Amino acid sequence: MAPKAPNRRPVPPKAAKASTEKRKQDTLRRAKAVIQRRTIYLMLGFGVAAFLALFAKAYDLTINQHDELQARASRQQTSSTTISASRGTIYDRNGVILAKSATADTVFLDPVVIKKQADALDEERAKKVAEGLKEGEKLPVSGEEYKDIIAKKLAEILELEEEAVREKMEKTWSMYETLRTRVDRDIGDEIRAFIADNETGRTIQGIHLSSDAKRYYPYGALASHVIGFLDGDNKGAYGLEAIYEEELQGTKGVEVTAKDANGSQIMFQYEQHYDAEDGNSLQLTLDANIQSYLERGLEDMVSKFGGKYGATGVVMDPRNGAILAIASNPNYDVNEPRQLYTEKFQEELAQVDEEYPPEPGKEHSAEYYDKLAELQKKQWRSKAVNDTYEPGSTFKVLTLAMGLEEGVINLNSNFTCNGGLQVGDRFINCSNKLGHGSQNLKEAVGHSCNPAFMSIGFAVGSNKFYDYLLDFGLQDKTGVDLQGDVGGILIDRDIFVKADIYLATNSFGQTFNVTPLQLITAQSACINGGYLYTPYVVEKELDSDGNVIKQHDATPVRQVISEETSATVRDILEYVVSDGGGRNGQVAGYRIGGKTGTADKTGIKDENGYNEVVVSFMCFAPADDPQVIMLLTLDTPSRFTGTFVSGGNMAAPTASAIMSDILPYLGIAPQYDDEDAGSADSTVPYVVGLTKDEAAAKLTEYGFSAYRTVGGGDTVTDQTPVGGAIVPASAEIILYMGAEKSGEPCTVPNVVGLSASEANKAITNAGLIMKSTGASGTKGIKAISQSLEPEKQVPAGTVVTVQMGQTVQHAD
Amino acid sequence: MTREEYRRLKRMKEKEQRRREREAWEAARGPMDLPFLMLAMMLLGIGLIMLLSASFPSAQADPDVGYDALYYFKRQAGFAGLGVFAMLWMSKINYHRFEGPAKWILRISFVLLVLVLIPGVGITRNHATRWLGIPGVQAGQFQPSEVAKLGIIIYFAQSISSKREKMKTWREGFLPHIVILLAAVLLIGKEPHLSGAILIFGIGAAMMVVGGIHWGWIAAGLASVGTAGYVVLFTDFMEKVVKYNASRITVWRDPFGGTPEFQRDQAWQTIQSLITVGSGGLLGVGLGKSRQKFMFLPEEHNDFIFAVVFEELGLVGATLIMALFAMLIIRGFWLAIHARDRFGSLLVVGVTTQIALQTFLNIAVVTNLIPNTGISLPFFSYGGTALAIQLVEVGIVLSVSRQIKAPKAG
Repeated sequence: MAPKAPNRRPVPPKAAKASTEKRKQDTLRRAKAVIQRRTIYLMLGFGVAAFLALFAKAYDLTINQHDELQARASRQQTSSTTISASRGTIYDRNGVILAKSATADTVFLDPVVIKKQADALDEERAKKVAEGLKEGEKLPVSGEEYKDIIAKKLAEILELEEEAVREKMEKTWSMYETLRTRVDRDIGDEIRAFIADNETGRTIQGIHLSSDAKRYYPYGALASHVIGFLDGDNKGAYGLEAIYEEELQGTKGVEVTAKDANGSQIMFQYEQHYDAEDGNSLQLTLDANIQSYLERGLEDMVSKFGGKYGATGVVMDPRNGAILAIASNPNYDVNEPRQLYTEKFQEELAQVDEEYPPEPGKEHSAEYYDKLAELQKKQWRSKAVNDTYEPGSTFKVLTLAMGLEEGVINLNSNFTCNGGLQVGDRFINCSNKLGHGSQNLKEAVGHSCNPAFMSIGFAVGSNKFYDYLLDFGLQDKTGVDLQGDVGGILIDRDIFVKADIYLATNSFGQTFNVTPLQLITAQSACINGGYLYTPYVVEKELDSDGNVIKQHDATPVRQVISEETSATVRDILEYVVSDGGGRNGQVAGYRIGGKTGTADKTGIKDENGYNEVVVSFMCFAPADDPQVIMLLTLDTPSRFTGTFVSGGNMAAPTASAIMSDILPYLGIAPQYDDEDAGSADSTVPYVVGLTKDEAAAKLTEYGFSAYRTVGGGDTVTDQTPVGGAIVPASAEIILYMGAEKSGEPCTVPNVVGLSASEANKAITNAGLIMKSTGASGTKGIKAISQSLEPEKQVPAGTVVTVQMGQTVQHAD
Repeated sequence: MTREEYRRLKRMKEKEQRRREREAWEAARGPMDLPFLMLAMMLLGIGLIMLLSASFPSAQADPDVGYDALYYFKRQAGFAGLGVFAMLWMSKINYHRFEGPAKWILRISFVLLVLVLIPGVGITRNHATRWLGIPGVQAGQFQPSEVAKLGIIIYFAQSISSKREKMKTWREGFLPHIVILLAAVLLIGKEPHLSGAILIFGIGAAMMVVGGIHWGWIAAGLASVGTAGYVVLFTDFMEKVVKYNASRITVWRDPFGGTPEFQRDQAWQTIQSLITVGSGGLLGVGLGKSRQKFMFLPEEHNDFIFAVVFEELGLVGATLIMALFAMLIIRGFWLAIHARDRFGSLLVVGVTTQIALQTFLNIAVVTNLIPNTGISLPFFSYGGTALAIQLVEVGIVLSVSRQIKAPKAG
């Protein structure tokens, strides 16, 4: 490049000079060429190679190592302040709060600091004593006094033993002694006030509070197995709290705090502020009232009849699978889930404590804690969802539905029972060993006749039968949004189809296992028109502003039987309650359908050699248009309560009592026929001041037909019950015609075992009013329990509720 | 010839010489090189924006600057304005004017380099004595090493261009230059100012190479620098034999290794720089949105400003800016190749090499490609004097570019 500058001036033609000039030009050119060539190397090196190296390294950092470096960046930028998110609330279907979060304080001591302050006080005191006090000056408290003041006050506020606080304070090697975790905010505030202002005259150092969220369960044990509880880190440990952890917990917020070279923190008003997002709330299908009716019923049943392994109850809306109530007994208080709540468990634990005395210096032995953990897990189990059982006769509803659907039976089918059936090499007994004789389909179901159902099973055929088991969802998990959903345990299909014995026993609900929830789901399908729904408890998910984020979609999984079949099943099951083995399940004023069950646990005997059994009862109402279905089970009731062990005797009356609460609550109006009319409630009119005839007319107008008078006056001066009271219309009203109302209390008579009219007479004679619930009719129906104990003294006119029913001496 | 006549003759000769120079200058005075100017101005503009973004958090938190978020930006912008004027002025000057006083410029540079080392004269900051001026008065303080860089560039350009083929020789080509260069490196290294020493050595060496020293010396130089580099970086020579606390090298090898204390103290700069670069990812967090500049990244508006570029603009943005630098450097060397004479070529080679080396070393430190040497990035890093000098140097390049003959019109 750049050719030599052309020499414009004339050069003298001297060869020597020309050659010198040329040489000079040559060297110049060569020197320039060297510079140019070597500059190109620099250009390539600095302009290309260097940048390629930089790019390669930068690519590695920003792309390959991006995630790791980004994580480090987030960690250091967000390490300082997190803004906690409030956990979502759990509501029942009506908005009643079942679980809610609020701020709470954990209180702990720093014994090291307390000792330091105490020592400083002693020193100061000694100095003051040595120097002598100035006028008006007070001697500071001594170290011991100081500690006493703290211990006393803390013990008082936190409801602890003063000794215990003092003991922790003496652990002067420790800097962290927890006194109580998660106390309410106002208790924390009380302590804060004490720290700042107290009789020692100084701010107390060494008492610390840390705030975090506490979970409150206003109803304690209500629906405990559904709701569950949190672990120590405020994360869901059990129940809905655990399975909806992600939805409930929310997202923590972050405030970026920058550090300067000294490690101190500088806050910037900058966009690096992420708001905490509160957790979503859950609205359940559960109804707190129905749940409490159910739990109370289970409690009653267990206390009356015993129940070695507890009891379960599920109340469901058969029209969509929504669970209105689900309970397992025993339960526990979710506020303190780690305590044991049943005497049996407490005794078991105490026994271990005796067997394995703790090592010195420790509170309990390792075995004790193992046992405690085991019992806690038992207590937390939701039996209705987690545990399977042999359903027994309540399963016959399904066999019935299959038979009708397949057309192998109809209402006119006839079954003969001789007290059992020979299947292969085994003779299988009917529950009634004398046999039921000849019976039509309704009667066979009413009798819960095993041979009849075995023959229905055989008519359906093992392959078809097994298909139905699967279609009813008995093998799969139900898909319910509850913890520990399990599937049933069926006999392997290959084995099942080979031998008749399995089909025979399955037909009446034995030799396979399902959970109560699975069974009620399948039974729902039998009576709701044939649709199998997925049971569920979470209706809606709401964000913190109350907007619905998710809504349960209640589309049926499949239709298992036809509408017609379902209607026939309903009809037959209504017969079972009105005239068959389920009469104890009647509820006055309502059409109830149901089926009892008393299931042997195949091969399991109790310590007295009896078969262990699960008694159960399934019922639904109204029978023609079911809006609610319920299944109760009682696992291994006592044989020594005087009540013959059967579902009809134990579960059905309980179900009747629960249903008589639930149905009016759901707004389903009772309809009384003549026979039942007496048990319908009516409001007593106010008749004081009227003549006897006027009063009688008014009473009739209000539905009261029975009255008697006391005294001989012209006008009514007083009445029992008083005007406005709501009592059964069958009650006898006492009109006092001038006579003094006796203040004497009345004695409750024992009416158990009497017929309805006998019981009413006895109670009326005692000056009380009877309200009868449960079964009606005369054939074998007797009072089986009463709401007030016999011999109890109560005011005149008190209502005694009598549960009517029938005790049969065979299982069902 | 009388003395009178001799003087007159000499004056006439000098006059004639100046006339010829002026004629030549005017004859060749074309337009300055627009691509180089535009690239430099773009980098200056982007650099100012990034300086504003990187510096406002610390300015905002600093009582010394009155919590003025724009403090650094305003100062830098002021110097940039002055520097652009100086650059334009410099581009109008005939660069041959520096040829004569080159020796004097070098002598003055050395006097300043010695002066700064005399106790009580140099100003010490952060354990390094690098500044001259009135203590306590920020304005007017300057680093003799900056002056020395320019001094070496001008002197080497003059000296090498006059030596021509003799550059190949040991006595005239290699020895005098290497002695001057090593003397400057030693003086600057004594301050201590490692990056300054490396830079001045690199510039001098590049000019010697381009100037035509024998290939043998180049090979020997590369071999010795390579060996030294290997021994220092990849062996435990420094710790074991020199007993020098080589924490920078330990950090370079494994920044995230070592104790938490080590990570917090010695490795802090490097770790933070890597986190800043890496968290940008492909597209960055967005201009102005760096989180690392909030006191995590030290020297964020200075030596580590390019880490903020990576974080905010990502690999894509940073690569675009690196591409601008590369184009500037390639254009610089292109101008050197086309310069009218060797003096001009060598001047441009010196200036371009300085920009190239500083850019490479800075970004290499930011990405931990090399150990932390503490070197600023041209046009980006905060520092008024340095920016003004860079722009003056750009002016020199532009001045050279004006004398390139326009390509013959087709």
